[in-house]
Amino acid sequence: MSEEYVELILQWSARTDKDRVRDWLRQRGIGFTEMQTGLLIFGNRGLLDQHLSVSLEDIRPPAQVPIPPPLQNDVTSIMLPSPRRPHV
Amino acid sequence: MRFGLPVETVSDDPLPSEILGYVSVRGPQSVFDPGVTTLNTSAGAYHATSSDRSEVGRNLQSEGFTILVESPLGLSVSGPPDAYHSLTGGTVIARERLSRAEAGYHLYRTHLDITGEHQPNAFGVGRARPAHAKIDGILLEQPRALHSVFPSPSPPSSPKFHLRVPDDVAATLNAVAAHRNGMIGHGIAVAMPDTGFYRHPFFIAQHYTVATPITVVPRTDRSKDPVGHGTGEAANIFALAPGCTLQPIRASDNQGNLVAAIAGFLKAKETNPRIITCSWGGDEEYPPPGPPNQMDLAVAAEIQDAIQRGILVIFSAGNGQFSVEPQVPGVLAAGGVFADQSGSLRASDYASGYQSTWFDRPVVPTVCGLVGMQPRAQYLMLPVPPACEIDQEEAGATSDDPSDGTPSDDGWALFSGTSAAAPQLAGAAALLLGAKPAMTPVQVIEALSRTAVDVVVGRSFPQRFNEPAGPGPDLATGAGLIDVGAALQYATDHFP
Repeated sequence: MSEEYVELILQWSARTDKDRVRDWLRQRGIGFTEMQTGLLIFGNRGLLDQHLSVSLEDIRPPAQVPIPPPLQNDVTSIMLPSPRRPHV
Repeated sequence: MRFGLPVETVSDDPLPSEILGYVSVRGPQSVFDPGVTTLNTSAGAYHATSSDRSEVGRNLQSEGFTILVESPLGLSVSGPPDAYHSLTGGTVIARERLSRAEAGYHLYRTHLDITGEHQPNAFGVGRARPAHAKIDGILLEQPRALHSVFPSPSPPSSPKFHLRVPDDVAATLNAVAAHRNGMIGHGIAVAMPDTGFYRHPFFIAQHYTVATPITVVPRTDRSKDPVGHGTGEAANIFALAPGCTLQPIRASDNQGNLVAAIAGFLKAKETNPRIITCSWGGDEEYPPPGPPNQMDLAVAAEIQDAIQRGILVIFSAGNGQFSVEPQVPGVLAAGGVFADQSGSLRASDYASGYQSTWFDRPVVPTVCGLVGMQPRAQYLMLPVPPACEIDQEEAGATSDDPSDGTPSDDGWALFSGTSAAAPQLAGAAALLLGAKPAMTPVQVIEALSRTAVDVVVGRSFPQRFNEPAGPGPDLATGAGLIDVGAALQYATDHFP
């Protein structure tokens, strides 16, 4: 399982059951922190690949990631943001 | 003090999960008794009885220790910090102590001590609780590990024209008089999410205040900065606000990639600082084909939230990059101006400068700090972890740019970018806030912008933006190069 750290932006839908989403993430060991418009979810790539049923390595950011079926009523999008780099 | 450095300073290293120690079992005599300054001629005077050693060994195991080796005098053990607490009632802490090492170097090495009400003053020595009467002393193994080769706290010379921190940067940005009058940004909290922070002796020798770094990526070390970017650029803050308090936030993985920039920003907000300074960003198509995407808006909403909480948020404009962060309304966007040997100013051709079409905001940057010119903007001599990525890269020559003139492992490198400008603006802002704590972020931006030195020569990153500097505000430099003394006077004249 890849140990590479990845962060994704999850956005709530209008009819979100936020606790259900948080529980779903928690049960799978996926980290999250609150954002103004949703959640920043993070973890190692292998774990996220497994539970989101994707291969994040093959996705070129910025891009949308498929929403797992149990979250489809609560989430409008899960996005892989473009990488941030130091301005050196 | 040695070389002007304290013998001991704070440590950012977390305590190890297992600590090696030595437990002395009381014999007929003890070296731990008060007033003992020499050895008995016979080691047998310190031998404990076999039954006492066995009893102590059993007790130690029940407290969570592993017995490694036994001698007639005591036992070598390994145990977690909690076991030492249970044994002594004291607390194990880490400190960095200056010590001699190989090849004539002095290093800061991590040492452990047991502190508490009934603990001895001697460093690394502990006293057992009264319940453990057969133990006469506890030693912690010292030192735990080499920290790194000791870099000089003073910048080296280089044949290239450059500015040094803190003095040249403070002088060029007109902060010296303010410093002399005691305006140093005392106590103003500045959070900086970046690649990490290494407690370079430069920061220790200058007596700067740096809080224990926070790391947001699991299994990364808060005391390390693999790239050197966060460490070096942080020196720019203190050049203008030597009295501020820096909270470094490491958002990089073990290779130094900035994989948790967003989490780092959120963590910075959580620490509730007066200022957040960010020397990084994304890079998107320019001119943009349409409005910002949802990801950009989500990040922008976080930045906007910080600003609305009263935090001054600073982002670097970019070194040719175009990204959402410096364009968010209310952000102090940091561009670049180059000051040459004669003091003449020109727009840095290394820095981004453009008209934002995404938000109701005219120009990125708002104002500028000091940034070098292409090809590599090697301009500021900054402290970095020895042999880190930047130390090595800048020491190497490229086809169009010679080496920075320093060794690749000396802990100093010549670089800048708008990464340097953002923390310079943070330092200037901290100085203003230290003098006028009631100022709002909008007022800080107004003071810096209204008093900036107009820059009329040069262009922003020509390969992409190519905006000219000219009289008055322009797309290359915004309002121009900050003037700290003038901004302080403006703040004094205009704000309560």
